[in-house]
Amino acid sequence: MLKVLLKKDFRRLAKDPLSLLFLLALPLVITLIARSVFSPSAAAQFTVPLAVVDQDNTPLSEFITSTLSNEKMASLFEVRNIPLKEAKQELHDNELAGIFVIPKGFTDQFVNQKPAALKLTTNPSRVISTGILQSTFEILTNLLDGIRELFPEQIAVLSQKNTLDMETVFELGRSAMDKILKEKDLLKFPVTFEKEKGRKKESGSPQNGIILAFLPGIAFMSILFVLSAVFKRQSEELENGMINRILVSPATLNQLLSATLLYSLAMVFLIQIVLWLISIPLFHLQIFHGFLLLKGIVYMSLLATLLNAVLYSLPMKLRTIEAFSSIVIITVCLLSGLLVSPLIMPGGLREMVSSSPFYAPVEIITRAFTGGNFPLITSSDAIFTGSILILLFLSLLLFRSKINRHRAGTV
Amino acid sequence: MIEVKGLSKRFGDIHAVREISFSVKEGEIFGFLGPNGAGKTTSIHMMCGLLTPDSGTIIINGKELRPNSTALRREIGFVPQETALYPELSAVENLRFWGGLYGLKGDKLNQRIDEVLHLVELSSRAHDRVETYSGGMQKRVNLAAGILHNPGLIFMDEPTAGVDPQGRFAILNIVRELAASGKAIIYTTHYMDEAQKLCDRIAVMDFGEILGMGSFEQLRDQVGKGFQIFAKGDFDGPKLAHQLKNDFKGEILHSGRGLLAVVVADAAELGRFVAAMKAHGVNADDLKIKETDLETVFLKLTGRELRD
Ligand SMILES: Nc1ncnc2c1ncn2[C@@H]1O[C@H](COP(=O)(O)OP(=O)(O)OP(=O)(O)O)[C@@H](O)[C@H]1O
Ligand SMILES: [Mg+2]
Repeated sequence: MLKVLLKKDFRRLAKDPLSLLFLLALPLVITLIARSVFSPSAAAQFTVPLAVVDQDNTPLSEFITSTLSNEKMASLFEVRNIPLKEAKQELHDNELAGIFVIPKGFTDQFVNQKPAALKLTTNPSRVISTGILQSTFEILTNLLDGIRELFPEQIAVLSQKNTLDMETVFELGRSAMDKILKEKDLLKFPVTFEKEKGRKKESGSPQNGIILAFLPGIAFMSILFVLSAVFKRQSEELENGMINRILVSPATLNQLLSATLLYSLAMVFLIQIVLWLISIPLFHLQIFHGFLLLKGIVYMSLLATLLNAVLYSLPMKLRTIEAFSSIVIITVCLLSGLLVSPLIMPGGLREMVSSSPFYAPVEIITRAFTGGNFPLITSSDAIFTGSILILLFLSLLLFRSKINRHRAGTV
Repeated sequence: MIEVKGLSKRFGDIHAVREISFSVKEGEIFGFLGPNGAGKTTSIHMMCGLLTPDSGTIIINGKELRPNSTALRREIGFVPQETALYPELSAVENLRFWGGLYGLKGDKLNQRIDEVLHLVELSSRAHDRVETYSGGMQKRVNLAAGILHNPGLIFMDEPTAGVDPQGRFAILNIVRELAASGKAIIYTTHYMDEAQKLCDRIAVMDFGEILGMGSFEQLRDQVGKGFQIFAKGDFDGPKLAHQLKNDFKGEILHSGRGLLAVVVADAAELGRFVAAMKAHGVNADDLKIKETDLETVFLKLTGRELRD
């Protein structure tokens, strides 16, 4: 019976390829708009609040900290030079995305070819900024490593000076240049170095950070639209007598609802596959955790199905529900961080959005792309999926009783 | 085939069906005749198991119809009042779906589809989308979908509504063929002539009640063979009826303000009635005269015309 019902649904879908195309085009168009709007120049408006704590106070550490606040970097980081204690408090209050510490003795270790470490503390509630910070500092440490490897003499000069004046910098640059020109191998090395690191750099670039802040939300929105179309059609069939005719046959209401649910989920996955298959090469996204992506998609699908099942079970006329559902969809898009990323929301709203269940799948998917050490499965997963499945079941019962009420003539 | 006893249904304050009882045999066409809102669709929905009756029993093939009698549903064919088909699918695809719901598949399903499409004379358009069909053609596919699984009992809710005379003729012939092959058919309509020509027995229905039931001849016997005269004009119906009482032999069916309906047995009485009316200042132009038929019965039973 399920097979017969589902076959009919897919045949109808295939018969109306334009509507299918439209459903698929919707997320794509939004994605393309997002790509053109968030060009690298637009990305400049997005800054990561970062505290820089220099405990070393040497010319090198000064050089590094000033690099972070120079003109080019200013478009990416909003640097604050504050004491560590204050910075920690601000991070806790979600005012900062990260704290960068140059520990005492760093320069000494660096110039004397000893293992040297910089410290980066990131804010776990700011997933995208964390991704940006991590990849930026990865580049920075790679760069410092490379400099130490290639220019030992120049580094030695650095260690003897107490201050770094213009003349010294110029002198260092000139001798480094001489070295590059004399030793051809050296020239090759940085080129291949660039190439190898190219992909990784790109995935963490601020542009993709922005795109990533929006892509999962777009995915969520497209799911909401598709599901609302499916549930709307079901309600139309209820009003125009199609469901009555099905229910005169040996098919039961439970079978009909199961088929609707399966069809909805199939549609959702279809949309997801198309969206991500196109987005990943389009935005040069790099998936760090395929599992997290899948988990986020499953969460989104469940939430969206739940939302629609509840909406269309409301004891209202179809037209009223449709009007109401657009309000709900926009609200949910806001709460999922789609319309405005929570990163740039004012304090109170940001917290509300970050803690809304609709933001959860968006965050999970973002993590799948930004990498980092996140647990793939958390203890709250069971609670989340469990409660959504229970609610979904309850809302399907609600939808079922609406159909029954309709048949009994009380709607 | 089907036996209905004391079936009732209310929707809030509306008493849609009141205590209706009847039975229909194999090969019989049983008609529900009534105006809009009479309760025809509500009755059919209860008999199909779509609506739960407030009271009463429905027995099909000796078994009582209950909300979860899935097996019994195979015995029932349902042709709904509104065309319930998927417009973007072709006739064949629609029928494949409806047949599939009844467990038909493979060659058997294809063979049945060919048969019913041939019966409703749509074989040539079988693969076109239903949305490209005319209203009458859609009604015929709608009918085909209801009889595909070869049910013994078929409910047809106004299958000819909105269909032109030729189309209606075709549908009536299909219904006759189905009855001839032994199916019990319950047919609703508000076309009087259709009920008269097609149905073996007719239940005249209004405001949820069956007011009279029987073959056309039996029903007409309630008013007798003769003429029905319907007068409309600027007069006081009841007063005029009282004044005319001794001027002709006939039955006064109904009278009201500016309205008088009578039945007379023959042409001679008809002449006397017309003359008497003229004497009271009512013009012959204001009289509608025709042979007695179901409409006369309906007028007598309900006091109103079928299509008012
Ligand atoms: N679902 C419902 N809820 C409330 N009232 C209803 C419902 N269905 C029917 N009714 C009422 O019950 C009465 C009978 O309606 P029904 O549809 O059975 O009439 P019908 O004889 O089929 O009329 P038509 O010729 O217009 O199809 C009407 O007064 C109608 O308003
Ligand atoms: Mg009706």
